[in-house]
Amino acid sequence: MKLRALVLGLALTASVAAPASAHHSFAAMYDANRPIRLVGRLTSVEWTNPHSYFHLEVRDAQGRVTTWACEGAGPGALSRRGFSRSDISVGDTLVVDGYLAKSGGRIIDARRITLPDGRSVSGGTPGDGGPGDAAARAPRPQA
Amino acid sequence: MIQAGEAIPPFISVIYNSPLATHVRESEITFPLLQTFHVLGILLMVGSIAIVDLRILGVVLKERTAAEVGKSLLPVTWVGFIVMFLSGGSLFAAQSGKIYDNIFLQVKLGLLLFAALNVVIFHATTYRSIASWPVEGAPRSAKAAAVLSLVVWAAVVVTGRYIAYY
Repeated sequence: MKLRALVLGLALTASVAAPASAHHSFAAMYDANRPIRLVGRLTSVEWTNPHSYFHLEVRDAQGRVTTWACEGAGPGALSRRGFSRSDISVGDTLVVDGYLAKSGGRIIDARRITLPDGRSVSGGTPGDGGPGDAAARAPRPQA
Repeated sequence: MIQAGEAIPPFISVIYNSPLATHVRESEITFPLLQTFHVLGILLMVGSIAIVDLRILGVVLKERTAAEVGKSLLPVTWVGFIVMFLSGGSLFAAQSGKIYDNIFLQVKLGLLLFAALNVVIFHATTYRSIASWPVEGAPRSAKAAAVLSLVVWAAVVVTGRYIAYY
């Protein structure tokens, strides 16, 4: 049955194509070999799904000020880690450890955020496969 | 994310800044809840369509006629469509300002339009004679529409999933 083989083939293609890319958003955008620490003044917050963004004004060694976007997990995941929107306000100094974007743009993946009260929370998107992600540490099932 | 100075089409901006979109975007629970319902909607709609397609192709439920299978599954398809459309529309609205130019979203919407056209054309032509299809099998044009339907709906799901990995 050629038809049956075709239908089965389509179903298989659809079923392997999706999981192969799932949870690889870190690798899709960021470079795990280029870690960076940003210390800057918070200029705006996007407390949004599916990712949050913390915009920082950062002064470099030459005194130049640039604005960076730090991408973190969505509101639900951050909240479960004890980080709520009210913990930060514009003007606060944040320390964000993360990884540079492959694009070279001024956006980083925020893996760890040090809040004004000194607490350090994980900022990474759950299951994105980035450095320190639980899914990345788990043993990979053998296909 | 939205870069300063980036021109968002005005109608997208209206959708993005609406109270519903803002709520979904900033919520802790609504967003993942809508994602869950979107999957359930797809399950009911695409699943029921696939069963009808597979019956037309003579793969499953051969003890029933294609007409019977189509008729009894149509309400499931409609419920799935409504759930899928409302949840998907809300998820799009919440992210519209950031994803309106996402290539996977655009391809997916194009494929959805194509799938809808396939439904309309199939129902306006080949499907009209479904009651008189021979027991040995559906006409060639019906089988072609069924294969097209399976391929296009699978492609809609795949491109939809890829919107998040653009």
